[in-house]
Order: sequence, then C-alpha cells, then structure tokens
Amino acid sequence: MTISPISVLLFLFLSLSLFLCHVSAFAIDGPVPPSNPLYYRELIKKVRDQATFFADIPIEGGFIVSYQGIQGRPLLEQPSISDFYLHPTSDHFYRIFIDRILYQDGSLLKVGSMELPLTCIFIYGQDNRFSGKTSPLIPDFIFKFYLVANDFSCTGPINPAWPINTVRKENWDTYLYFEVRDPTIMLPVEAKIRYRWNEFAVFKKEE
Amino acid sequence: MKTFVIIVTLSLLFLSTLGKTFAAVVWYPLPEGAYTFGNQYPEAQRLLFAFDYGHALVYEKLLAHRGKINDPEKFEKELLANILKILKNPPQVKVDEEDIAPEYVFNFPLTVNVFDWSHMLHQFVLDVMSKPIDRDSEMVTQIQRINDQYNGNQALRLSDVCKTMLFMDGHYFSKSFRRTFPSFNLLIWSYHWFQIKLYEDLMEKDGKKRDLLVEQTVAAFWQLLSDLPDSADFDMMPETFKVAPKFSKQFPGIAASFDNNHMLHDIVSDILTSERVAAEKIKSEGIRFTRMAQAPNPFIAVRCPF
Repeated sequence: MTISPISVLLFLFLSLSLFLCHVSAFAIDGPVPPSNPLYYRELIKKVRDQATFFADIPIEGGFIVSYQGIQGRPLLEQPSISDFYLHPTSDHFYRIFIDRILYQDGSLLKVGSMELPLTCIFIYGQDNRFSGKTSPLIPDFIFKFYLVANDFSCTGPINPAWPINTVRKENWDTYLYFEVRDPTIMLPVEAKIRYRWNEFAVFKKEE
Repeated sequence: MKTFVIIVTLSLLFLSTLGKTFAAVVWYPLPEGAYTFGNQYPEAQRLLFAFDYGHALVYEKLLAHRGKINDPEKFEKELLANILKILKNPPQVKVDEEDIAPEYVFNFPLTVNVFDWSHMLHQFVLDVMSKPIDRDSEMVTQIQRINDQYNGNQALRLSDVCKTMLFMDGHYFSKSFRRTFPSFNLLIWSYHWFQIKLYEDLMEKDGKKRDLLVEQTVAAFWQLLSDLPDSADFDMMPETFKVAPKFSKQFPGIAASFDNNHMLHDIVSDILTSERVAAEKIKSEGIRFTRMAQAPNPFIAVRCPF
C-alpha cells in the first residue's frame, strides 16, 4: 500500500489541529475568574477610614494606636494580579493581588502622643474562591493591609533598588499592619504597629 | 523548588507593580553613567556629598536643641567648626541622611522624599555634563531624558515654574535662620552657589577649559568660606539665572526646579529656627510648604527671568 503525499499532509494538519484544540481547552478549562482587576480595588476601598487599636505596652507615652484617613489617588492604573495554579495540571488556583493607593494630605496615624502623616495604603491580597477549597473555614479573601506613615512615594515594603544601590532592604520605618478576612465588615485582625523599626502587637477594640 | 518558584513569581509581581507606580524615591534602574561626575571631578563630588551631610546635620542639631539655644552665636560657632571639619575631609560616599539625622528625616518625611528625588536630578545632570560629549545635541538629549524621568514622578517632583523670592521670605517664620545664624546661612548659600556654578562651568564646550573652570569654582568656594560672614558677600540666596545664565537658558525648567529646591531648604531652616512655629506644628508646616514648592501656582513669578 502506498501513502499519497496528500494523505500525509492531511494527517499532519489534523494532528496539529488536535494539538491546538487540546492546548486551548487546557487554557480555558475551569472556573472563569473575574476579568476586571478593578473589582479588587472596589473591595479595597471599603477598608475602614478610621480605627483604634490598643497596645499592651505604652508606645510614645500611650497605649492607643489609631488612624483616620481619606484615600486619594491610586498609584497603579489597576491592581496587579497573578494566578497561582496549585498543580500544573490543575484547574484550581488562588489569585494574588497588589495595590497601592495614596492617602490625602491631612490623614493621620496616631501612635501614643505622636501624630504622623498617613501617606499610603499598600495591599497584598489573596482571592481563594477559585482554589477548589471545600472547607467553609477558609475565607474567600485575605487582605493584608499596610497603612504607611511618612512615605509619600509609597515605595515598599522592599526597596526595589536593594541591594544594588542601597543597603536598606526594607523601606518603611512606620506602618500599621492588619489583616481582613471578611470584606463585609472589614474588621482588622492580626494587627501590629511598626514604629520607627520597632514592632508591637496591637488589638482592635470595636468602637 | 515549589517555594522557590513562588518567591520568584511574587518578586516579579512586586517589581511589575513598582514599574507602574512612578512614585518611587528610588531611581531604578540608575541612568547610564550615574555617579561618574566624581571620576572626572573628585574634589567637587566629595564637596557635594559633604553638603548633603552638612545640611542634614544642621537640621538635626536645630531640631535637637530647639528652644534650648541660649547663646546662638556660640551654637553657630561650634556648628560651623564641626561642619568645616567635614568639608575639609569630605566623605567618599553619599551618606544616607537617615543614618546621621534620624529625627530630621522622621519629622520632615515629605520634604526629605522630595529633596532626595531632586538631589538625584542634580547629581545625574552633573554626571551627564561631566562626560566628554557633544554639548549641543547629545548632552541636551540626555539631560532632557533624565528631566523627563524626574518629572514623571508626580508625587515627588518639585515645580519647574519660577517662583518669586516671596515663596522663601514671605511667611510668618521667614528669615529667622539667617538672622539668628548669619554665618551659617552664608555657608548654605555658598553651597547653593557652588552647585549651580558647576552647571555653568560644565556648559563650556572645550574639555580643558571646562576642567579649569571647575577647578576655579572649587577654589572660589573655599574663598567664600575663608572668613565668614565677611568672605561670602551674598545679600540674597544665589539664583540659577544669575550664577548660571547659559545653563538656565538651555534648561529653564531644571533651573527653576533647582531654585525651588534651594528655597525649600531655607524654608526648612526657618521653620526649625523660628519660635513662631510651635513644636507640634513642625511636621504639618513641613508638609504644607513642601506641597507649595511642588505646586506650580503658589508664588508664581509673573515673568521668569530665563
């Protein structure tokens, strides 16, 4: 039996088509995430515009750490997002999103008796909704908020020039850090204050 | 391996966000030839490093001794003696202000951010001008590129619009520093003169003449300091259009931006010295006046001299 050149070409064409269909199917398989990263910014904007925390030991002559601020211009056009597949062949992934938003002048971070300009908010968030989680104990979102004082450029947490043209790895000497796991009430948990490079645990007390 | 991949990916994600911010006080990556001015003119470069040191140190001392200076003349004499020691043995490296003036940096966060960004513009312009390149096109193009990067950082750029001297001298605390510490004020104005005179020298097309002019400017700077306050005959802060007319004509925006930087330095000195500024107001006044230096409209000159 002889194989004609046309049959060979047809076979190659069909093989290629099947391969491309497979690749394409692999790429779009699974739940479809929200395509607009601004969705995350809308959630981030709901962070409380003021809150009070308490420290176990006095910092700058007081036990109270609080902030009040109005968000201003975002530094990114839209939040940066990246999807992490749990396995190369898995459809499930969790999504990381990062955003930076300046606070308007007049926003304050109060540490004891010290008032500092609250300059920006940096958010490192995780969207678990597409991770295939089955346990109701895993939240849909985890937001890690850094409310940064004294940095009007919002460059951090790691100095991008380190170690090439700076010896200072971290950029922020003072910030309030907390996590939010429920965007409906935005209650801060796991809070800590970094004040001039020293870190202290603080806890939120509902007003 | 998995952890490594996650770390690398997260780092890339962080870097991707930084590239889009245009608000960093970090100039990264550095422009080609950054910090090479010192290869050609080591003495001048070390003096510039010493000026940064001197500015930060005086601010730190003023803050630390605020309200406790009973004998300003004695305080000024001691401070001058300390600074002159540094100028005569200037640092080989650019000292991080936070390492020598932590209180100042903590109390003037916006001002320090803005100064850092502006000082990088100063430095990188000098770096370009110290190269043996064509003065008419190549140098202009490179400087313009650096200036565009500088202005791209909306959060930290100073205005490149000319402001009147009232921006420096028209406030309730103005002139306090120069009245209390006249010799030290003249030292700071001598710094400013030196910085802008270098730009004019480097406009010279002939390399040998250029080197000679820089040498003469270094010598003239020491002459200004030889017998303060008499040796530095400045009635007013040196302005770029007067000291560096060719440079100002070629780069009017940069010249205006430098003058605004220098005026802001004097404003900080006045805020720190004046008893009229309440201690609890220092931070907010620092922010308010820095915002004024960044905004084009406050104290805008009706006609820019260049």
